Amino acid sequence: MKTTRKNSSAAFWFLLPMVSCLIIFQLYPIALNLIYSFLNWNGISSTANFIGLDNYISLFQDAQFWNALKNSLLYALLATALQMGISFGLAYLVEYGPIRRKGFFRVIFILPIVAASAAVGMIFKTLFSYDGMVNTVLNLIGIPSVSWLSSPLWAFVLILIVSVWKEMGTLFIYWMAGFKTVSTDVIEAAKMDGLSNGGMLWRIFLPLMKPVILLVGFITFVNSLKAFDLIQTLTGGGPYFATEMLSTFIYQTAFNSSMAPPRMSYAASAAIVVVLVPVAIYGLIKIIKSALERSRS
Amino acid sequence: MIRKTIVSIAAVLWLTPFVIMVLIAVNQTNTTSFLDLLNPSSMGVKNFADAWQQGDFSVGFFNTLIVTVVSVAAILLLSAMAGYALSKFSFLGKKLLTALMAVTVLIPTVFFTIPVYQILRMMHVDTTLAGLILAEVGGAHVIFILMFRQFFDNLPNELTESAKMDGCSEYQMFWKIYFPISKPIIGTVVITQSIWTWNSFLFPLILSLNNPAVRTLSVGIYSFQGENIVNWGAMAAAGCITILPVVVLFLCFQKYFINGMEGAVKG
Repeated sequence: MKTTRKNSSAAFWFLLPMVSCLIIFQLYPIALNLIYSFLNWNGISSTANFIGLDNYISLFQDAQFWNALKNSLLYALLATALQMGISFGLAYLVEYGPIRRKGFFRVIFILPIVAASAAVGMIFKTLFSYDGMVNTVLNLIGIPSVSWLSSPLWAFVLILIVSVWKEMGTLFIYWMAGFKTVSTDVIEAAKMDGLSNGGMLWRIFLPLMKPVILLVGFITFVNSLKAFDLIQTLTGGGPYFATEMLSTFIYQTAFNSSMAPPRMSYAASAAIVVVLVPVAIYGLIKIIKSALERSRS
Repeated sequence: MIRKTIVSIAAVLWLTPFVIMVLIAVNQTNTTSFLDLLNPSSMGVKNFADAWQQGDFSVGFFNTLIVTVVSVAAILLLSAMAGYALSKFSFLGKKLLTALMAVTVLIPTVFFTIPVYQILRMMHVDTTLAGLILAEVGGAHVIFILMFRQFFDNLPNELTESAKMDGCSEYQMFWKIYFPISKPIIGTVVITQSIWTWNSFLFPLILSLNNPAVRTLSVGIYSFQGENIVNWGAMAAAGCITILPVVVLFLCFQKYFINGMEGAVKG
């Protein structure tokens, strides 16, 4: 039995550091960002004017913003599907396949998460450079070299490939935790019934792990929408904005607009929209779900 | 047999980038051409010296070390204390606090960069290591707080009772009894957060835009690409310097790191 006690002063002091961080660096920034989004502030000058919803209106007329939104959603969808499919397959093979030295393989597949994204971006740039290893191998099997970093399509494919490599570690750990939710009794019983390897996967693991799979899917999707480090270090949003995401769009607009003065307020309004995107998607899914249920009944 | 082959091929693919990084780092001809990299006669450690001295990665290394050590210590204390309070006390607004914490998890870091950068500017720490530490510590750390809370929840009440009998104050009870026995969680928080802070990129990037002296290793590698005639060798050497400490930390304390990551799906 867990009991709690009342001692307001002690509770206050224990919570003080966390709550001050929460207020100063989380809640106040949310309010501040909202205020900025209604101003025409460049982030440097000491004055700014209230311009109402003008930032939001220009945002929705901005082709660059729509391009970033489209890329972010496309990337999040594809990255989530690829990362989850490949990582689940490999984790299942390592944990339940005829593999000796499971610990060794686990370490290899988890290792990418501990590598700094900036370093990962740099390594993959060399691997996929025109005379890099990937093109050399492609040439060996008779495929001509690909200009990975300067072609809009291939640059997008490249960030997907790198994201699968990098996120494998995180997802591998999630699946390891997920496999533990399937009780060994069930697995033993299924084996006794003579279920094949494929049958185990389709009839035992996937159905029983459905809640875990949905949760991991949600986390992966939200994380993919947030992606910044890898994209900034690999392509910086290029070539020709083909890999520009909402995150890099905000960064460029607020901090690194080499071609134009910084537009802090404009970026702040884009940041508000970024927060609303998952909320909107979540709402949309709920509406579709309830509509489906109504049509069924 | 097929399954074994798939796993082995995948393992080779997943290790290749690390191997290539080391090969480029020890190759002195500044090349990314795969065939040149395999030539053993051009190997040496010159790139490491270049990166450490000319590329200012020595500065980056110590910046990263300071930021990581201070941030991790602060985050550990902050989340242990908060987890303890949430587990052991009932107080007004507890539900609201938990809800607010949960909301912040969904918001991307890039959202916070604009206002937090301005807040740090108001505090006049926007181009200093102190600002960088504040930005790191300022996150929500919800997973760690919940892990501490759950750990304290599962401890028997007799612990509190007997401590009270011995005349412990509320604060002694935490510092002398609860905090020390939460070793497994402490390990998890320290290892997981060390790796995250060491690799942190977005805030260090923004806060060092106007002051390269506070660059961390991550930002150093990134900026190095833009500012110099591309010196792949020195960059790969810097990559090794950045990645190696974390890989060693991970290999030694795997269990703690995996626990920390699992927190996201368990909690």
